[in-house]
Amino acid sequence: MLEASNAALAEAVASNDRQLGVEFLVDWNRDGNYDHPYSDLSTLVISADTDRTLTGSLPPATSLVEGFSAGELKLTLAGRRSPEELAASELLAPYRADSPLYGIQRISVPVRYSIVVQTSGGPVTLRQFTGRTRSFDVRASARDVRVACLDAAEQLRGPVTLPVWAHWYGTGTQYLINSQWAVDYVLRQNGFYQSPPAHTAATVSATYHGAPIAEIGRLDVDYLLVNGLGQSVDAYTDGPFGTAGNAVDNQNHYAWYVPDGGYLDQDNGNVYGLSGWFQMTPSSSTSELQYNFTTWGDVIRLGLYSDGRIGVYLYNNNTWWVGFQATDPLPTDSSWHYVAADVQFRPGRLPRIRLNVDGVVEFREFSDAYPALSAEHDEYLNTIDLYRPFQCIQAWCGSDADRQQWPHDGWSQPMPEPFEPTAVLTKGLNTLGHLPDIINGPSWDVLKEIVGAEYGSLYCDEYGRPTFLNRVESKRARETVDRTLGENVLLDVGITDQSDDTYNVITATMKVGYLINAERLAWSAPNPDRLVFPPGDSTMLIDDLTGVMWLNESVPYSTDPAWDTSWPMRGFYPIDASTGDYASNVSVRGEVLSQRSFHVHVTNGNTFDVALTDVVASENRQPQPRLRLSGYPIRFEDQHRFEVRDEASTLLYQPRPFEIESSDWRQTESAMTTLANELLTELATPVPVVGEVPVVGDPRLQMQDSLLLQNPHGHGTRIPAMVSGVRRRFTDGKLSDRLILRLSEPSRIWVLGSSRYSILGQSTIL
Amino acid sequence: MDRTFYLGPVGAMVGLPVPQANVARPLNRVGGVHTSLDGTTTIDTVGFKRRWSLAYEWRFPGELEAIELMRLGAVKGPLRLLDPMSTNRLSAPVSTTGAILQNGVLPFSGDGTMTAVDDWPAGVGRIPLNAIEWSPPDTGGDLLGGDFASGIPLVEGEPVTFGPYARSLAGRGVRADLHIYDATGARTSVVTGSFTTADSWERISVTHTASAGEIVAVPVVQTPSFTGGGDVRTAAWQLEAGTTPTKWLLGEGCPEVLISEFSASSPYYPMTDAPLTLLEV
Repeated sequence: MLEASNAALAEAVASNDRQLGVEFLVDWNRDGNYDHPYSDLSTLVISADTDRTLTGSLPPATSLVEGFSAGELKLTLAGRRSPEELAASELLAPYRADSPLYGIQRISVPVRYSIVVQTSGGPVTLRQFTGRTRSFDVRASARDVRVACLDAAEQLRGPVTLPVWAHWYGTGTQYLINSQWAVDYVLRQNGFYQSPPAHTAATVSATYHGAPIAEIGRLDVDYLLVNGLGQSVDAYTDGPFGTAGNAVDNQNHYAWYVPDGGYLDQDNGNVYGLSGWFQMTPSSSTSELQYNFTTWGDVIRLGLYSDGRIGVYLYNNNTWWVGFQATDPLPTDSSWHYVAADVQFRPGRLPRIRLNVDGVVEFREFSDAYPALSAEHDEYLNTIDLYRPFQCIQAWCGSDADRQQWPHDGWSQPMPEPFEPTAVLTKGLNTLGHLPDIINGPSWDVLKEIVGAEYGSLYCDEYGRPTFLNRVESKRARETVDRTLGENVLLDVGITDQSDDTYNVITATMKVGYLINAERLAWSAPNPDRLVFPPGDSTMLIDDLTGVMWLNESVPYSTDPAWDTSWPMRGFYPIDASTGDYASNVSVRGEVLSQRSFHVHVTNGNTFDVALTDVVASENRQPQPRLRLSGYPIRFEDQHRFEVRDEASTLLYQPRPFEIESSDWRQTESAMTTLANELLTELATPVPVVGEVPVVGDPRLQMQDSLLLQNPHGHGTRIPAMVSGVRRRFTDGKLSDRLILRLSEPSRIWVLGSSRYSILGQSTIL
Repeated sequence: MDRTFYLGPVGAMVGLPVPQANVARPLNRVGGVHTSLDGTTTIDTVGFKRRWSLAYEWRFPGELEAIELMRLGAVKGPLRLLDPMSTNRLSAPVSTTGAILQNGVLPFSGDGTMTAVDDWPAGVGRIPLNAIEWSPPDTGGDLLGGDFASGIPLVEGEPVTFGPYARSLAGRGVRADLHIYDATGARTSVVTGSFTTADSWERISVTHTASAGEIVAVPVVQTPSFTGGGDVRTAAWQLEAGTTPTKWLLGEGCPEVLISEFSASSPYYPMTDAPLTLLEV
């Protein structure tokens, strides 16, 4: 319900004499300002239809509101805004060179459509649709233009590639991926953010919206096997923006990240920063973010102390060097705060350090020169060691050219920037052991699969924000009644009770992948092609790695060509490419480029070509490749199947099976068992199905609103229903809705003490 | 000067022949009606628009030429209409000083702040309505009932009188003014009228006869600089043809119109019958 608390609006909408108007804006300049002279086309709107309907995969006789919806707006434009301007059909005709819109791209232009209601408190503008234009149909005969627009589903057509990830069952099951993370990751890749976007110069960014997986950078392999939290502690909790990483006193959340991007030297004015949101719970331990330049030696430490003090320190060779604390400590009252720090090294390594706590920036310049680093600085890592809940952890580094001005420049972003979420997500009810291997998958289809796997709902709200609601959240919304439909609208509406949608045996199929905590053969060259190397240095790119979480860069010399299917798990065997003789003076070194790509550097110290095969090709012998890499591969369990059944219902209706079909996103037994049992409850006692209900248009009404049907002389009283679709038509000055409803409860439900299910004199007879 | 319909763009209003009878000028509600199955009616309103049907009968050829020229586009719009049947040429929202709102906003602008208050000069109109309470700056200022685009078209040689009611809560002067604009949209003169300083409802007025080049008048209530400041109330605005303010009536405006229908038939050669239909934009 839009603006549910606006009483003047409620009165105006419910009134029998309503004053309505429309607002239709087009952002021809595509800059978000909607300030083109022809942006406001409100006066040209003849009719406007919006359609939002959830398409789900469950039978209609369930009370679950689930599925996905791509919202649509269809407008008819005609007339002219003033006598001097062109008419709508001329203005938008693609070949009219005299139109002020000639030459401007018309397709995929942002639009906003609102209904304006006059109330006693002034006009209220209710946004109905935010999206992009999809087509213009100019009809010269009727002198009108039909415009079709689609909501963010149109923008979610971009390709998405998921990181490689699998859970190691050595850590607790609470570390399994929550589906919110997957939904959020796909949305972030498409520019929709429930939490602030990553810093422009970020080298590590991990949202913790249900997984420790980084969106920028990657987790170091050692972390994959570390478990800081006990089994009884949830790994995730609620943060200010969606799900957050959890940690409690004495049980930390601990991770090492390998940053993206090359090493930036400390001399050149480079800036290194760390930031995150933290919940200042009472804690007896210091929580730390670290930026490590060398392995455990030179470190920036951002510390949140037990008493609420915030400090930033530079360590050299593990020794405290310079740093300072924020003037005011934060209260340890479990409130959430943004904390960031950055360090700039100037020539001679004179550090400037800055601390940002909730947008209040303090800084110091130090005249002590920072000592030289050890030469070994290519393994730098960012670590988190946190005893308090946190989210949106970032590290960044950039050159001085990226800076604007000291001290109040862009480096303390994103905090002082007011952030307005562009996506609305609830915590998922599905857990994942691994991320399916999706490379350049269409984002909207991937989202549909993730959300469909747990029977959640996915749609864009009136403001164009992708919205993901889990099935429990949809139910929770029913506790408040948004609107009552009386017998005047229900007289002609059918309510059907049918047995077709009764299912009392639910079977579920799932398949999970998990990480093996041991080095195994991870990749072997598939054939002898590309395995011949000339004298000198050569590099071979392998960019089709799948199902490997971590690769060992070491590739040792093998002196024995007799390899079997599993031994050796890594190595190479070089021969002279022409004679087939074993060749010495050859070394091979690996280099991990990303989770899916790997460089093999081959140094051939001989004067002849070498081949990494067992023999050279001959009439009766095909050469076998002799190059293998090892790592931690993901292992997939066999498909697993189980069933749950409602015995009472099978006696009544005979067994009727319903299959929860297998999906890449149906993985863990714990999540699937919960799902199957919930579905069984829903489907074994089906609810009646209600037909489409035409009502006087209420521009506040939206998907997932809770209604009460009241038809005491007809269908009955106090029948709760949920809106799973709204088709709203505004034409000839008349606003009408067609509601698609799902009834929320089977009949004969009585709940003691409930204001909705125990009505004295109706459902409760004393 | 004869009271008749004037039609045309501002600055080039043309007096139309007087239709002796059969003038229909309904104020139509634009919107839809919902009737639920138990008969409950709900109306959705998107606006109110007037329509004029003037039945010209037994006219000589050429008498209606100006209308034909406007209809064919020889005269560029937007066309405005002065309807002699509405005395008060101000729009309904301006004439009722905020009792009727257009899109929910007060149709006044100017210096300082203004709000609608429950006050109305006794005996004016049938129903007491709202007054505007205006808090001008101490340095004085204007309260404008429109701008060049929404101002009242002037007809050369025709005197018009703006006569609002006003009361001064703290003794500062309140004066009726007319701002006169030329065809370029520039304000060429400010015609000043009578004023009051009384804390009781008084009618103030200003009269002006347009000369060549003066095409639009905007009604204004003005107050000069006043030590200590003080609020002013004004209500029941009226702008009418003539040199003295007459009894206040609800304003119907000088709307922008479109020529919808204009057809001709000849009942008796060479006379022409030509019903004209004008639609408010």
